[in-house]
Amino acid sequence: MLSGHENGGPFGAEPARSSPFAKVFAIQELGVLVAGLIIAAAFAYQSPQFFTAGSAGSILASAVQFGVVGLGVTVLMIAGEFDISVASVYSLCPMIMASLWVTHGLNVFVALALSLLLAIAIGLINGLATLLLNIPSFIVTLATALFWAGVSLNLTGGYPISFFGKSAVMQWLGAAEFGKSHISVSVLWLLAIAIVLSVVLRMTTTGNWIFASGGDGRAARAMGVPVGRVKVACFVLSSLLAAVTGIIQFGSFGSATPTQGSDLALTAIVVAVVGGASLLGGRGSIIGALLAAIVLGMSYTGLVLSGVSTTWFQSFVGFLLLFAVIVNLRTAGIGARLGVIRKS
Amino acid sequence: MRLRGLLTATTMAVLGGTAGSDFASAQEKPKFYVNFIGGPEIQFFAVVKRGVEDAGKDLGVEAIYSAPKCCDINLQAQLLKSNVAANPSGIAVEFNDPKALSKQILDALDAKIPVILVNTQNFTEESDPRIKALAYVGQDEFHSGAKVGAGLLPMLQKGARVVCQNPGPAQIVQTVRCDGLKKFLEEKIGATVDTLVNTASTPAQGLAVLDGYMRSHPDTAAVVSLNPETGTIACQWVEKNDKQGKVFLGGYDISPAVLDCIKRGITSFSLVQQAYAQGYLSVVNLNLKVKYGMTPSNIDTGTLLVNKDNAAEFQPIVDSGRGG
Amino acid sequence: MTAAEFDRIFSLRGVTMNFGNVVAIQDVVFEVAPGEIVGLVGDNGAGKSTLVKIMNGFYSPSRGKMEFRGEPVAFASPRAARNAGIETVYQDLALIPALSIWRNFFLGRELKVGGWPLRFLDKKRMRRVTMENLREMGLTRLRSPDEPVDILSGGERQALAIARARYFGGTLLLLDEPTSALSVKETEKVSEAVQIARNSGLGVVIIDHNIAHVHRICDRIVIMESGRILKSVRREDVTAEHVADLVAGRHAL
Repeated sequence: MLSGHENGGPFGAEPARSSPFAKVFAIQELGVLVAGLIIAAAFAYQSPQFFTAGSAGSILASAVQFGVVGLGVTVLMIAGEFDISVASVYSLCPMIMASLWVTHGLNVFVALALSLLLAIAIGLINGLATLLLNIPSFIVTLATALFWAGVSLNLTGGYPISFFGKSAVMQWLGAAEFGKSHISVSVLWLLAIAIVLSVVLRMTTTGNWIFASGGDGRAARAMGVPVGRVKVACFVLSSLLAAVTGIIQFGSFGSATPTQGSDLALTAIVVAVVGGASLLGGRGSIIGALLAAIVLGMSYTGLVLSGVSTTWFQSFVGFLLLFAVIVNLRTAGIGARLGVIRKS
Repeated sequence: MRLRGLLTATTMAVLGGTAGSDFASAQEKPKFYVNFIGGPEIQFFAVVKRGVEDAGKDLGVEAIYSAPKCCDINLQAQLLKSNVAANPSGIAVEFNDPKALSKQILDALDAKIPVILVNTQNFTEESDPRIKALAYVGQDEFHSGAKVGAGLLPMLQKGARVVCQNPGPAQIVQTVRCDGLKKFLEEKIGATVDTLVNTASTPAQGLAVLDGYMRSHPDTAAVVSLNPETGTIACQWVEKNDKQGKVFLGGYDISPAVLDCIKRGITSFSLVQQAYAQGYLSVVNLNLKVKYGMTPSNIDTGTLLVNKDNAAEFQPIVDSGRGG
Repeated sequence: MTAAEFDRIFSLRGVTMNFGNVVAIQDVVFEVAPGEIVGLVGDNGAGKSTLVKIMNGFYSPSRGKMEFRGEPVAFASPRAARNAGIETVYQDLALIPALSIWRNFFLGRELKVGGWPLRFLDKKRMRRVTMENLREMGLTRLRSPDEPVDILSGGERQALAIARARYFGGTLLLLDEPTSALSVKETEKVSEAVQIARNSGLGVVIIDHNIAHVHRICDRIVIMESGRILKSVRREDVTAEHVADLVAGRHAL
């Protein structure tokens, strides 16, 4: 029969160890988990208010903002593409909804549907331009980011559109809170989206095709995977979730504004990468991205509570990014040496 | 045995002592947050931050400038939520949006945290009356536009064209200023006032943007710049194109570069909102309430018109980083 | 017709392929029998790849007749050829390194459970089938189908690709330069995998520059030159040196 691996390989011929300690290294999201625990511990030590319901509310509010858009970008990055236009869509679509509903009196569901339709169209344009024109998605979405940002700004010349009434839709989107806890119901949206995406990615054919398209598009195509269709669908998802993020904010805070210079596109990439996504495609984790969003939320709130100037937030995120990536790489290596195999 | 007992006792004493003193100082030192939409990467906010922090030092309180990277209202709202969750002694808020910040402010008021507004009061009729009633530290934006218009008036002809450089329309106050300027000059001399959105991130880009406008509108008689960054760009443009005395410059806020342009006569004047005072007085206002029970007062931080005549006495203020 | 009822899996007669003004292959007569391993050799540009790409549906021939399993055939696309049971193992293997072995094995042909709209991957079955097939192919070193493909050596990956093709194909296996990047030992793995596939009744066509390897495992060797079939010989009738001579253009035989 075939001989063993001549060079011994990185795994040798050891059987898989099954000790609980070793099994820890099988967790793909170990990097962000470790980072999260350290950060939570550090901030809790610095400030006793870190674990109150009030701060939970603000942690989760930030997590929803970074997370919903981050999840969409994660899926797209697994498919091997980028979307820089998320910040512009995040700004534009709620403005469209607010404009149609508040300013022009359309039915709120119609306004919501139309603004989501626009997001889908933007995603389609991003995807088709990338595939048919054969231009890297980074460039295409950079161009569309600038274009739609301009549209958003010109819609009202800079003025926000605010909603002052009482609306069940707005309550459901995020205005309502759980009892007296200051935790917005928008958390439910984040969880629901994370669960659905996680199931699709890990347990369906489509999910397999997304990993394959990002891992090696040519190979996937050779095996009959409709790589083009898969990628365009992911572009649509990314835009849709960016719009949903903005609309949830509209619900939570009551105003739609053309935001400027938003770091959201980069922050979304940070969320994806800290959660385990690779810039080259073919790898990533929804759970990881969800945890990353929560960790970012903890960082934002934790910095405030510790009295550290929020100007340090960016530096913090940079440090977190490097830390998580290094831990991800190291734990993969250690896991390999211990012989653990990650279930896929 | 005895040594262990002694060590234990010493440790307890030390811990107890520090814990006790921490507790005592935590009780004594009030904590204030001053919440804005942008941070020190923008000159104006940097000066406000300095005022806030200097007030903290002078008054012996913990005064924290709290802002995201310019200029996302949702991030400001989230940050405000964190500020409130920290249960401070008082909060000052730059009220940039008629609605987005309302819930957090009302939650703070419900939790008996005193709140005042600073720099911007972007109300509409429908804004919550409890918020409209809050004390305000700052300048009247719409009328400031008119003040700038008045400053330019002597240099303009009837029907003149004026351009208003808006560096950040997301910050509603900028749009309001241009609108105030426009209304004033239209009424007075039937001027045409254009808004030029100049959000370029580097001076070279900003200059290119202004240049583009000026070339397509060669009859422009004056440029109003809403911050020192755009003010400096306007000054550079006039110098480069040798338009001193033909194109007049006015603007808001001050920086060493803008002050220099005023001294050299290229820029006619700048309206200084005293960003430092806004930051400083917010903290003072809140501290008076917390320490002595005074109801917070409305404070007009004044508008100082800096021109060639008083530039010299303004120099040291700019040099010390307090001129905004 | 089942595999036993026809004596030729694939049969080409007078097949010509033109690309514009370039004639890639001309008047080619080529056959593969069930359980036969045919080696296709020749210098670069001889037309070997083109011939294989006609057989797997990538190209449609400009002229000529093709029969598959005794019936005339014209494949509309690679997918049609694949559906007919013709599997190709390309030089770059069409394997995704970051993806696990079982996901690669079933890529594009995933097994599912459940009914619409909740159709989920049948991971249990796919894992089991993958391991069974890989063990049959000789990859006993494998601990789990969840390991990513990039832990396999070059030869093991070839064996995986062949195992996959054998499982899904069932009729004809086409291999394009399977040993070009492999060591001697690794090449052995490929030889064994090919034998196992042939023993299941598949026909195999191998394009390879390694004449010694071709001579060792193929039943018949077809030499191409400048778009034509130069000669078709049975292995026992020639030595490897003779074949190499023919390829190099020394037609003294």
